[in-house]
Amino acid sequence: MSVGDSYDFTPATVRRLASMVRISLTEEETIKISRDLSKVVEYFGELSKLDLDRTEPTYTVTRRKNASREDRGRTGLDQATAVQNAISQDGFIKAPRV
Amino acid sequence: MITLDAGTSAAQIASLVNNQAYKATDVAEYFFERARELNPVLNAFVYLDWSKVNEQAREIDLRVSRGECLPLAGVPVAIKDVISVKGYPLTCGSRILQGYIPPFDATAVKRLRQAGAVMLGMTNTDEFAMGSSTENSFYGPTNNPWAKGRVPGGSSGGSAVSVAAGLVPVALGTDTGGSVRLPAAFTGVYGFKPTYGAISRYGVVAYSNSLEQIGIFAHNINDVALVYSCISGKDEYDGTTDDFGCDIDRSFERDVSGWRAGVISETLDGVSSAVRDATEDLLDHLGHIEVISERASIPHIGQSLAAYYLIAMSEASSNLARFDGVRYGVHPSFTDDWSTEYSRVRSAFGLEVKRRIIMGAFALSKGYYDMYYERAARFRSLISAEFEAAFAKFDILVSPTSPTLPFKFGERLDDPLTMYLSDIHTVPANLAGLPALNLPLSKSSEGGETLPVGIQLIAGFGKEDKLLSVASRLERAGAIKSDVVEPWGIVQKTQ
Repeated sequence: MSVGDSYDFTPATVRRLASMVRISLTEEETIKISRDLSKVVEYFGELSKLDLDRTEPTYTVTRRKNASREDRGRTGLDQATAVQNAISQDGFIKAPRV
Repeated sequence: MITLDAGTSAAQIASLVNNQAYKATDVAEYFFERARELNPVLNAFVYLDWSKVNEQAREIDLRVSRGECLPLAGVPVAIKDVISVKGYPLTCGSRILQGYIPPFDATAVKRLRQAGAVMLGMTNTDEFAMGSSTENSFYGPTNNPWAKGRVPGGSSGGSAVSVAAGLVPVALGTDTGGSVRLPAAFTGVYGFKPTYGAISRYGVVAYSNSLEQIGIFAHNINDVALVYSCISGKDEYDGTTDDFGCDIDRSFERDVSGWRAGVISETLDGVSSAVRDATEDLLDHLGHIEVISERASIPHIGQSLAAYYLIAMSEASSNLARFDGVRYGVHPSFTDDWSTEYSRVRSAFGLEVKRRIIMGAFALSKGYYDMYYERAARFRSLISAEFEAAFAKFDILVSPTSPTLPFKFGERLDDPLTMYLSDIHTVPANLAGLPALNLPLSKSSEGGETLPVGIQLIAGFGKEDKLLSVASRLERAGAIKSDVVEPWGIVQKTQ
C-alpha cells in the first residue's frame, strides 16, 4: 500500500489506536472520529503525487547542533514546589498501581 | 502630553511610566477595568485577577522610583493560556489541566517581567492551540469585536482580541501553523511569528515542537519590535534557540527602495475577491515606497497543508502523552489499574485533541510511518529548498494570510478538513521555520459588516529585520493603520 490508496479509517482502527494512546472514547466519538479521519487521510494522499524518495527528511529546521552546557549541578525547584500540583505523600508523587 | 487611552502604545506607556507621568498601577488599573468591562462580551480572557496585577505594577513603580529605566515599564501584556506564568492558572483551554498552577515562568514571561511588563491575564485559545477559530475551548468561543457572530480566528484568538479591542497594547500568542497570523488578520492587528528558534519555547506547553514559536500581537510595528527585542535570543533552557544577529533597532531606518518583493502566485488561486483586492492594494503601496513587486513561485506550496498536519498531529500524539493527571491537572482516582485510570483521565481531552492524537499515533505507527510522517518530513526539505531559491531573488515574499474574511461561528466546526484549510497560506512558513508577519492592511464589507483583511510578509530564515523594515516604511507612508475596535465594529482611533 502506498500513500493515496484509500485507507479506510474504520471504527475498529480508531478503537485500536485509542487504546494504544490510552484515551477512552464513547461509541459516538469513535464513529465521528472514524468518519472524519477517513476524509483527512484521503486528503493526506496529496503527498503521494510527489517523488520524494531521494529527498532527505527534515525533522527540525534549527541549524544548531548538539546544544550543550557545562555539566555542573544547579538548583531547580525545591521538592515541595515541584510536587505542589500532584497528589503527593511524604514528598513522593502518588500514582495509580501499574 | 499624551493621555492614557485604549489606543496608547506600549512604547508610549513605557515612556510615561519611566518619566513618572503615570504610575504603573494607574496604567494597570485602566486596562484591567477595561478588560473587566468588555470581557463578558468578548470572552478574550480566561483569567483576570486584580490583586496579582496590582502586585506586579507596584513592583514596577518601586523599580522606576529607584531610577531603573525599563523598556516595557508598566506595559500590560496578555498571555495566551498555553504559556506558563508563575502563579497564574494554566489550562490550555482544556478540562484536563483544570487546577494546574505553574510553579515557574516561561522564559519569554521572565524576560517580559525583567523589562518591566505586567501580565494582565491569560487569554482564550483553542484546546492545546489546536484550531483556527478559538471555538474549541473549554471556556467557550472568543468573539470578534468587528462583528457579532464572527470568529476571531485561532488558535490565539483571545490574545488577538485583547489587543484589537484595546484591553492591552500587546499580547503573546503561539503560532504552530498560523495561530498568531490568522487571528491577527481576522481582528485587524499585527501578528508576528519569528524565525524558529528566535524566542525560547521553555514554559510553552508543547503541541508540535518542531513547528511552534511564540508570536506577538500589537497595533503598530514599533511595539512588535519592542516586545521582540525584549524576549528573543538564546536561552539555555531551549536548545533550539539562537541569536540571529539581525539588527532590529536599525531596521526602521533602513532604506528599502530597490528591494524586491515576490508575490507567491500559487497562493492567489481560490482566495476571496476581498483578499485578492487587498493583495493588489499592498503591491501598490509597496510601489509607493519603491519596493519592486514581481510574481514569485513556490511550486509545491499547495501540498504544504497535508505535510503540516501530518507533522503537527504526529508530534502532538507524542507531546500530549505526558497528560496523565499524575503530576498536574485532573487527577486519576486510585481504584483501577494505571492503564484504566490513565485512559479515563485522558477522556477529558476535547474531540479535536483526541482526533489529532489518534491520527498522529497512526502516522507514526509501524507500517505507516514511512508513508505518512516520514514522507511529510521529506516534503519539509522540498518546501524549504523552494523558499530558499525564492529568497535568492527576493528580499521578502507576499501572500494572503487567510483565503477568506473572518467566517461565522459553527461554519467550519463539523468538518475538520474545512477548518484545516483556513491555515493553507500560513503553514508553509512554519514548515520552513521562516519569520512571517500579518499586516492589518485593509477593511472589506460583507453583508453590511466591515471586516479586516490581512496580508502576510515572509522573509528568509533569521531575517525578521527585513519584515520590520518594510512594515515600518508602509506604516509611515500611511498604508497601514490598526485601530482599536469595540463591539461591534465601533472604531476608536489610536494615537
